[in-house]
Amino acid sequence: MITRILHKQLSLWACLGLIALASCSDDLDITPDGRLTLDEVFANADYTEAYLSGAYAAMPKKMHMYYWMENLPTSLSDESWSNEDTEGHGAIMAYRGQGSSAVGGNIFDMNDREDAFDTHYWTRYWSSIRSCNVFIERIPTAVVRSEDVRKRLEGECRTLRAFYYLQMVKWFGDLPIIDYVVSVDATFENARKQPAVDVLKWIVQECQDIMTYDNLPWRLSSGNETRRMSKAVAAAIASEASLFAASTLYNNGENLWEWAYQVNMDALSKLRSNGYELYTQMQTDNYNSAYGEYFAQDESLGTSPADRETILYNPNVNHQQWYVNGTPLQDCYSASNVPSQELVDSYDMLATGKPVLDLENPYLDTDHLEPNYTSDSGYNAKRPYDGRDPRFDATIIHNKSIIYIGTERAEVRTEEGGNCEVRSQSRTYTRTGYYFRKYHHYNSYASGNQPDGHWKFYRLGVVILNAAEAAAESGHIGEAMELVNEIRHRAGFDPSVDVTASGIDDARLKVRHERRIEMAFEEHRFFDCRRWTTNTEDIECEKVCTGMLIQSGFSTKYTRFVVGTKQSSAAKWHFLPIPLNEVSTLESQTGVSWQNYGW
Amino acid sequence: MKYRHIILALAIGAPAWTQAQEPADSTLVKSHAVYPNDTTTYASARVGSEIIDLAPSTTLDEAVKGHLAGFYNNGQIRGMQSQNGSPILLVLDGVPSTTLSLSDIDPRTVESVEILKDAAAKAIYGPLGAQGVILVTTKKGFTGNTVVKVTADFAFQKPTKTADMVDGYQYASLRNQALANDGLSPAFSTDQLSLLQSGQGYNNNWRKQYLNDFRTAQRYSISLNGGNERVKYYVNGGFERETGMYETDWKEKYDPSPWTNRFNVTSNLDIKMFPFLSAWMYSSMRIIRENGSDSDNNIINLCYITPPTTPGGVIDGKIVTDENFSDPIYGEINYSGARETSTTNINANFGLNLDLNQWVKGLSLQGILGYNSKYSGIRKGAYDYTRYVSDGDGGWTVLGTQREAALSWSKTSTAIYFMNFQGRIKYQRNFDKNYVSANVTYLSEDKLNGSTSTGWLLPFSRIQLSGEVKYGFDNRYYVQVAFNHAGSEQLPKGNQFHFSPAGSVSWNAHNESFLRQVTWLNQLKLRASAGILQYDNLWNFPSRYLYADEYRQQGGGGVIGSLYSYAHISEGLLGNPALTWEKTYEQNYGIDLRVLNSLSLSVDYFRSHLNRMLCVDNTTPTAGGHTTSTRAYTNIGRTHNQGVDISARYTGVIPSASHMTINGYVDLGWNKNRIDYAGDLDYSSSGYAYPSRTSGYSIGQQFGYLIDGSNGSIFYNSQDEIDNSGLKFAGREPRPGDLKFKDLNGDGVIDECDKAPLDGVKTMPSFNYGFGAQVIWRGFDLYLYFQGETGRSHLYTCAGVYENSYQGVYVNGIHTHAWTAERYAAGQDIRYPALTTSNSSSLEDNSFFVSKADFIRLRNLVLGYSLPSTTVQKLKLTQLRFYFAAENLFTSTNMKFKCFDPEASALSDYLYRSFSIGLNLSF
Repeated sequence: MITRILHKQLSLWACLGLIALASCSDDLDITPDGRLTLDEVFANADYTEAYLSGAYAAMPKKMHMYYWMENLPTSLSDESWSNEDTEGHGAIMAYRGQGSSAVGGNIFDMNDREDAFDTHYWTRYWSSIRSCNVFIERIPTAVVRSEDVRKRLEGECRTLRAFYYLQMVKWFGDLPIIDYVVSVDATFENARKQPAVDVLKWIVQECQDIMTYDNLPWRLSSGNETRRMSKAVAAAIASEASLFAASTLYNNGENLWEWAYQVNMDALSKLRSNGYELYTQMQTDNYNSAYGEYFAQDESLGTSPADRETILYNPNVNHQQWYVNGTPLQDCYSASNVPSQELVDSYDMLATGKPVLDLENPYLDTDHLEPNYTSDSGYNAKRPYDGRDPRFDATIIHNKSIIYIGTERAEVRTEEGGNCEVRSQSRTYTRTGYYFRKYHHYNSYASGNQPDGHWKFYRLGVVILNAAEAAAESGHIGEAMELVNEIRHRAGFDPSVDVTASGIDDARLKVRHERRIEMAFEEHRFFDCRRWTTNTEDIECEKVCTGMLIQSGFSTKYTRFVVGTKQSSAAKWHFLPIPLNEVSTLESQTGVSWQNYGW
Repeated sequence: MKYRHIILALAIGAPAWTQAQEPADSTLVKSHAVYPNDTTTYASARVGSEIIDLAPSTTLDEAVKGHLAGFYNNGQIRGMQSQNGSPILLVLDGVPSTTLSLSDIDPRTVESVEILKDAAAKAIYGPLGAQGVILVTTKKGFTGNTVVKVTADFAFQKPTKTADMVDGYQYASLRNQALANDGLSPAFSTDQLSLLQSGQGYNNNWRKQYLNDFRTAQRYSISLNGGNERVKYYVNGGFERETGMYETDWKEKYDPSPWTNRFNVTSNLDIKMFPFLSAWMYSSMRIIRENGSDSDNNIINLCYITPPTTPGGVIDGKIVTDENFSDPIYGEINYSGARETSTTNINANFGLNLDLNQWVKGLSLQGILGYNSKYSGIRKGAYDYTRYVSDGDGGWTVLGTQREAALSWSKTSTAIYFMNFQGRIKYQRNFDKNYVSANVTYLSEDKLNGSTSTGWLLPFSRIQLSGEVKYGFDNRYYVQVAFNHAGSEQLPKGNQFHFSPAGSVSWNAHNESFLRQVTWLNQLKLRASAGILQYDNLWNFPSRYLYADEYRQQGGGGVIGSLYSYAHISEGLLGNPALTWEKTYEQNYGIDLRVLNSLSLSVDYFRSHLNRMLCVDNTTPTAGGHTTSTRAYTNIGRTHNQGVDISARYTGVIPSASHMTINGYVDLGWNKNRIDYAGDLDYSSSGYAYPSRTSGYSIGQQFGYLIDGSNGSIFYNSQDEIDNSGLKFAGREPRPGDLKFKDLNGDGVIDECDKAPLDGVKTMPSFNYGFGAQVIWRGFDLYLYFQGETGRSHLYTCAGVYENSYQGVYVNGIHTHAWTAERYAAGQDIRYPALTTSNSSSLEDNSFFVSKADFIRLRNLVLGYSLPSTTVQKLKLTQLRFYFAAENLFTSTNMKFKCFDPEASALSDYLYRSFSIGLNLSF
């Protein structure tokens, strides 16, 4: 009886319960909270474009937008010393040999304010590469405004991905090529780094393919397209990627110079035939040279731009140059990167076209205090700043340079007791005796901000010198020197003092010398000095940084002195460490080593 | 009709529901013994009004601390099971109330608090109860003449601990010392120092100047309780007022004085409409109004962090300070504006009970509607004032840009609410020796929480069906099975419902024939339970719907003008379509013993493991493009937890000593949890001394460097010692006087790889306990209650321990004994590394700053005297009692840094020791 009653009751309750549940389960159907699915994104032409816009998020800011307000690659290179050394963070940590793969453990990975500074490359580039992969996978079937647009968007996104990959290879070396969408639950057991040279070849291949796209333009036509990728960018990426691939650090013993030469010549001729040319016509007389004026202005868009040299620039403006790279006269926040004596020594004499120091062995001692002067350059050690390549004054502020505080003319005095003297414990007073000038609008100051020049990721001048290097290395010496002289003519050298080379070794010295001068403070020197050496060699030229102490009196006395040494010249600094967490994950999943040499 | 009491005890499905309280003639004569009845099969702990009412407390969480074995001071039951937090479900008079906490409830209105601890007890509460359930039962009416009770008391409250800050001269010397250590020039000249030493110059003791030694509290309540066969009622009204710790002296435009008023009204009605239909209406309202300066929560802090050498107060009619402190305390108290916070908390609980006994014996139906709304509004009057700093010439000059500003009022508010409905079928009947009970409950709930961010604005819905069946034989053997089948919109369709079963058995050995004759043995009960519970608290995460990708169209923020006008699609967390609930497997074994009708003991052992704990799988490489901010949450984590709860009670009457009554209580909880796996990284290939940072450790385990005192000193005593250590430092270079860290992996570099788990620095204390006794003799009653916690340390990094914040915060006995070359040379006692003004290597997380935080305190001491009943009757009263009560009278702790209370975490975090006098009166 008990069981019968129980049974009856229980089944009744169970039925009632189920009815109740069934009738109410709609309660759990939530109203969407506004989020989209990827399918919805690519079913709307506007959203499709907005997604691509989001993929641009990892574009670095460059200039001084490294943590904290200095151009770190320039700080580490032999071009400058970091005036932020008083703050105990930034380049000074690398100078002291500090740095690890831990989160925030190296200076390029200092904080996690990804929006504010260029940092966390590993995460940000992979994240945006994934966005690109998603876009490239979806674009063939996505809803777009027109079929013309579809092809342009695809080419643009592939260029962007190539750009990110090239940045990654420059920072990290060997990498896996991931050109597909990785699912959340993918396993990485079989993931392996591919030799950087293969990644670079793949980048070149991508760019050559992109250059055949019909609807991707060579030049952007209006201001609101700023930053978008074009065929010209693909050409510039191909030029740089092939040059890197053929270089000592990357080439794995393979001689790729002839290939690199072909890729570069192809890119260069395509750029030239699509209207890219060096900036030679000055618009004003506010700068000492077309070179100087070029860096301080930005007018590269539209059908007939004044600047036909710039291929890709960063419109990002966060701080004024006078403020973060200024002099005490401008009441700046910091002098930031102050040029080294080594850079100053590298500018040739205008009249003779000859270098001041021997190109192969510029110094007789390891402290760089005994210069190895060439005999016939015309250099006068008593008037060291006179008669130099005009690019010297366009790049560097030295003793007795003239700057403008608004309309007011001011003379910079770096000599002892001068208004901009060398000090060891100040953020605003130079450590080396020099200040930085490139990109500065000539009369911008605290209460009179003028638009400074923006960071140029790619410009024709650089592509020309890439081609020159590839030509020299592959034995096309005449062509190489022709390209070098093209750059020198724009700088102001007379064709009568054109440089020539007697062989590959000589041509190599000349091209490298020219690159150092022409591309100073554009982050190239840091990468050049690395790719010209193997991963296990120290970067000798960066070991010591010197400056110039000037004492005026009966006669002005110039004394070279050591500002400091940089332990960041150690071999491991060829590449950044792969973040510790990533290495731990990948190593435990793949069983092979992932970390870069020395870290 | 002999089971009528069971129908009355319509327990709303709550195992512990008790109703129809007998009228208490006096709070003092009730038995304090707690023991489970024969039908109980699960593990729980209960504390009743007889203890709650003994000591005056403002909130219920304070009132029950220590009294419930397995309930920890931080609100957890039986420790922690998931690293995602383990919120406890509060059930108020049978209504699951997810928006309420114990601190929202007036303890005077509470009849009992019971925690449910094992799976068998928790199962019917569904997923939200999986981590523990607290049943709060309020006082109800009874059949009989109206009883009126009045309570009034008045208290002084004094901080248990106030840090002893250095005086002006010491401050200046230590500041100079810290600057010198950092290679900076001194802030105070030798002239200034000697002035300070001779008692001139500014030497402010801010705490003495601006903070009161104590604050006051007054509490009044009146309750009416009674009823007849048809209607029973309990009505309580209470008022409390507390003053604050600082004094104001300017009230021209507004009132910045600190005070808190609390009003409580509770009204519980039970109505019998027909013999077969009864209804209840329980409601309560609590209004809290807090007033204070707009900088209220910063005033105490300012009194500790402002150096004594800063000018302060009003000088020459000006509110003065110095450049480093733009918020002078006097100005902040009086001129920063006023703020009034009002919190209104309304609960309602309406129910109908249909007794179908006359049709099916033992069957009844219930419907319950529960509602809570909590509104908090801040009315703020902004005001400002001009600050002056010394001009260096004996005069004063204006500081900064802040000026007197016209008063402007503004208001912000948040509102939280839930409403739920429960429908229940209940059945209970005895057939000869067979006991059968069953109930099935359907619940649906709609809830809004206070968040205004996307996703969380939408309501939270849940439905669930739960029930239990119990069978007993001859009062000896009981078997119970419980389940819930619950659905939640936190999960994707098709995966929304989960079924959780649990079961328990008990054996009442004392009812066996062979033990019935043992007269001294009143109870010997063995219990065992097991169950699988699931848990869906997926709300405390970066995305509301973790199963769906979070792509959103953003109006701006893109970088390209010609691509949809700078719009972009943001990519948030990726969804995990396979997302499911966290799942615990719980076991519990218990024994209940009662002997000599006076001593009872319950011991429970539990162990549980949780799998499918929700984690971000950090082992997913970033190379696939999944970053820490987009990686999906997955159910990959696993934890273990185990522990023991012990509870003992004694109630004895000694007739020979004028019927002296003694009640004794001991409650103890021990727990130990371990994360088995949490999707974290294994750093062994990177040379970590301790390769995991989470897996294998307790929840909340913190890591830091270990101090190396191997050569007799934990400090580097000279630069040579640093240079010769052969160590490199990834972080800051140590200075002489900084702590020596162990190079655990022996690679010659002190870095992240050398960090070790810091002993005892975790979320849960191992032990939480309370014990005490009450003695009643003639008219006197004495109650003593101790409560404590052990087995947890803290890593202290706040001001008062760390010296480097603000302009240096120095405490006597700590920073006065910091390392200096002179102290070292003189062989003096050194208690702290070399001071710094910015940062030093010593201030990285390390074991020097770990301190045990065990404590035991005399939480309550109450001495009462009740007038003899003959006297009382002449006054037409039933009770008149006067009492003196002290709370937190004394605390013993083993803390290393003795500048704040062991339960506090900052200098300004005050706990109070209070002394009160009061009276209870009833008629």
